[in-house]
Amino acid sequence: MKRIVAVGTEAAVRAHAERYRRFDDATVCGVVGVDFGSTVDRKRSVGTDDSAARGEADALDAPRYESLLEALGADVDGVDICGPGVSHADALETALGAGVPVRCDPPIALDAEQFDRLVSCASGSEGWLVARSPHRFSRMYDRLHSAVESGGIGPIGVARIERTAPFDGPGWNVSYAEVRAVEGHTEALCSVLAHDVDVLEWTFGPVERVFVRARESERCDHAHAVFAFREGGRATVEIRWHRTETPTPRIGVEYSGKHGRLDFDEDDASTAFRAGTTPLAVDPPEDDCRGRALRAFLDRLGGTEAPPTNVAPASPSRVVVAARRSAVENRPITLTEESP
Amino acid sequence: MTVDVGICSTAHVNAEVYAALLSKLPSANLVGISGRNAERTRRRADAVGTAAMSHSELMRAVDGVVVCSPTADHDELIDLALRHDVAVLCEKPLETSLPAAKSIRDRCAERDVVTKMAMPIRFSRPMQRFKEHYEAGAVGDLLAVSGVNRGRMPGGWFVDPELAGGGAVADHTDHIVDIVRWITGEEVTEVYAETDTRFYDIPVEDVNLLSMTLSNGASFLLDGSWSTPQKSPFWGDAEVELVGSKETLSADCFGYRYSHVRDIGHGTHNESIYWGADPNNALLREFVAAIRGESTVAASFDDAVRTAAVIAAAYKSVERGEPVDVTY
Repeated sequence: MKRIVAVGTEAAVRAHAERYRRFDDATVCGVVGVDFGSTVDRKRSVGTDDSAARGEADALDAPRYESLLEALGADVDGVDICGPGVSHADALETALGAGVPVRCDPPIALDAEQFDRLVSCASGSEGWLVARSPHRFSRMYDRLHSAVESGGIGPIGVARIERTAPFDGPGWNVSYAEVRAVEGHTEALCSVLAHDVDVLEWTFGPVERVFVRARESERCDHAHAVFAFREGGRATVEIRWHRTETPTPRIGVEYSGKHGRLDFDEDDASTAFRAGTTPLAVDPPEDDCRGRALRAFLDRLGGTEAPPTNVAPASPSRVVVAARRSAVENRPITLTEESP
Repeated sequence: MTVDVGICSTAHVNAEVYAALLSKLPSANLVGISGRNAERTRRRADAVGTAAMSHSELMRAVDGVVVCSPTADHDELIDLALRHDVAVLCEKPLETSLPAAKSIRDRCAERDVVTKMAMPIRFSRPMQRFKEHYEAGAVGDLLAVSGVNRGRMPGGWFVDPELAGGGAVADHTDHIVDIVRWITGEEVTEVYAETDTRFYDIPVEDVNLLSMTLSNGASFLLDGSWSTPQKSPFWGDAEVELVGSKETLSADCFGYRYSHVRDIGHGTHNESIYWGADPNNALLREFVAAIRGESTVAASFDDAVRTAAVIAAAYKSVERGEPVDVTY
């Protein structure tokens, strides 16, 4: 039985705990950073019933700790940073410093200094850090990846991703709201961008150059990024979210290559199962993209596959550091280091 | 009263479309089609029941022409039209370089002749409703713009840098930049371009990604690549999204489509058929009305110079590897 400490916001921790509960070989042995009061406040703002939220939170059934260091006093096999690693940088360093394997969403850093510090920390640690986006574990991206890898569309020409709602339901952007509150809108948008960078690099190879423009308004934030891949081809990613409303989920992905095009539209997928006009989840939690991402982490903890020596993959975070610089300095940033 | 019109050159892919529409337009009399390639000109003329002519013969016979030549020939043909006091509807872009486009604009400004650009997207009903909503304040303060205008690689002179002035950047920057200027009243002030040649073995770029800034500070992303597969059931797309402080509005010029799947063993098996109001038809009707002095609303040659400036800035950005200011 793998013992996992979950670190993050209420909503994210709850979502992860629900998935761990469904695995026979895992248990959440500690929770750090849950702020139930503020979560209720957030839910109230989007009209969710308070008692239901409180019940779900209580159902976590795991000891709560004030700090990760305290939680690591017990026997722990792994730490799961729920939400972007960048919003829990202290937890990342604490876990790695203690030699405990960590899973978190990219990016792990927004600036070069923090990035270098974490990579150095991971390489000198007995632990390791996996920071793959859960997108990699979605069936949709997997099929797209397989189609490209098997030569289904030939060499990539242009990839295009649009994203207005990365997560389902009220509170989907809670983790990013935290990044935004502390760092700013550019940093929050770049944090979302890390997931798309991870998938793009996984599919098309390393990013060589990135150019980003980010804008904010009272109603919503918006960013677009233009990428050049080292092996040729270009990509655009557009991200938008609304602070005062949860926008209709919208994800559009298009890969155009020399010999064809692959095209995915969330609107089509949302009709697979629905009540009225509201799309409903089809996959059980343990088998959705996040569930499979957590399964992969557990397998790595207990499996025969050699653990990474430091951060895997580091490149999406490195690209996000460059993307942030590009947005601030209004110039393209070329990635000079070798991507892993 | 009908107006005598002609198609000047058959080189552009739209010449055939315009000829078919003009031949059926009650307010116009399609007098002829001119071109350097006698066989192709005769074929196009025969298809719509009109005459094949030389450019000079056509200019002497008409009140207005639609110029469908390679871009590099626009200058010479527009001069010929001006000498005959013939109205011009010109395919985009106006010229292969910004100075050449300005030169044409300035010469035309000195003459009392109708000169317009073929910007059919301005006649798209979704885009017209879009403009009405924007002007009524539906979007609020504009934050960001994104657009797509991808298409199949057209081949022929379009991939000859001398005749076309470039590749996908020269061919597929005009429409969406023009429509965004027209709807919002904002100008493009800065361009960062990423281009590449990835889809075809051609001497020009087929990838055209532009990251721009508008005069009010809004960001503007445009994909104008020749990335539509040749076997795609539809030629391409023309869409715009405006993100504002009040609302996000988007319009798809060719959103009205149905599918047609054929099962007869040959030819095209799967087609998307556009059934909305045809913007090309509205463009030509407006041109004929302008010749009759009944209309003035359309893209002017000054508008064409402004999009030519964006194209020039895009190529300069590629050369320098950085964002560049647009010089009008």
